[in-house]
Amino acid sequence: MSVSRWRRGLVDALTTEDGDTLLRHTAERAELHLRKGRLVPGRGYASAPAGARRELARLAAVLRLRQRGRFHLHAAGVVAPDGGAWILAGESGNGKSTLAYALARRGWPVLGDDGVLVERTKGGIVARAWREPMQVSIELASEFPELGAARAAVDWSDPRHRVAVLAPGGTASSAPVRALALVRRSSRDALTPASPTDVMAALIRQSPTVLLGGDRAVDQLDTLGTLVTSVPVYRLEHTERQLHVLHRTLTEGAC
Amino acid sequence: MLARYRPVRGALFATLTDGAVVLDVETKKYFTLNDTGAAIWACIRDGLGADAMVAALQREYDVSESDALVAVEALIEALETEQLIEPAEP
Repeated sequence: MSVSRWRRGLVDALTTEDGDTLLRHTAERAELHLRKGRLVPGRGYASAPAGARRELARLAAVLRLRQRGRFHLHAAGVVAPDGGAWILAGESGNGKSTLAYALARRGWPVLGDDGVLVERTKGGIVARAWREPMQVSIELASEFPELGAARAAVDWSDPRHRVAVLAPGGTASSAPVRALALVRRSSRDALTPASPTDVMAALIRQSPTVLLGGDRAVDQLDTLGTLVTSVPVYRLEHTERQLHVLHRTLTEGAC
Repeated sequence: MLARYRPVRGALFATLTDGAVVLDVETKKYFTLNDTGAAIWACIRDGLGADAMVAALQREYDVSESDALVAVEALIEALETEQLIEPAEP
């Protein structure tokens, strides 16, 4: 049986073909096993700091859901007024959470600001909620004054000075995917059609579990392929101006 | 005459509207192919030899036999270098 070695943040992982995985937090020397879909604490887990246990549990949840055909994307997901989900993917620091918050202020329910699950169904690709606290940079208070009240809760050790906030437009549990955009901070605003192949490559870069192999690998790749070919895919270059007009940009299909 | 090739174990393939992605879960690498490359990969996967690949490309695209053969040879060389394909059993 082949074993995949992979790494995410401070966690090293060994995954077998049948999906069993050993997750090891390298800094805290804590281990968590995923065996036959069940979580089993390993060495150092009980005494590890809460943050390390949370990181291990998060990855374990990603893997458990993968076994059920629900695949985690490093992306934000928001639901437009027409009921369709927009997935905003992109490298860290390119504004996924910021844009999701901007849309949430306009009443768009949030599926997740740093993660969303996608699942292939008979009706197409459905986006499902990835439940983690929404986090935005306190620097956004200059644009969205209500965030100033959260200043006392900022994690100043975080380079991005993020703070957990409630989604102003509430949350959603699932929605059919309406479109996907690769987001990137820029000096201009532009929403342009993207190549499905380029978008697929970007999603693979952002989703290390795609490369895991095992009995879900084909399904995961097919799901991503169906996603990028069944809905419009775009590149969204954005300036701060989009913080106040993004809802129109996405519903009208142009900046 | 080119030998017949086949994808290596662990190579996954997703066809998209403007190309394809080949994912090697053994090496953790992925590769993007344009639409011509995707067509050639599909021929390799289906066990076609070089002549049949060239014919398939000519049916799908407006290319000469020599251009199609160059494209096939170039991609096969690249895929073999990346260890995504291997010679098939005779």
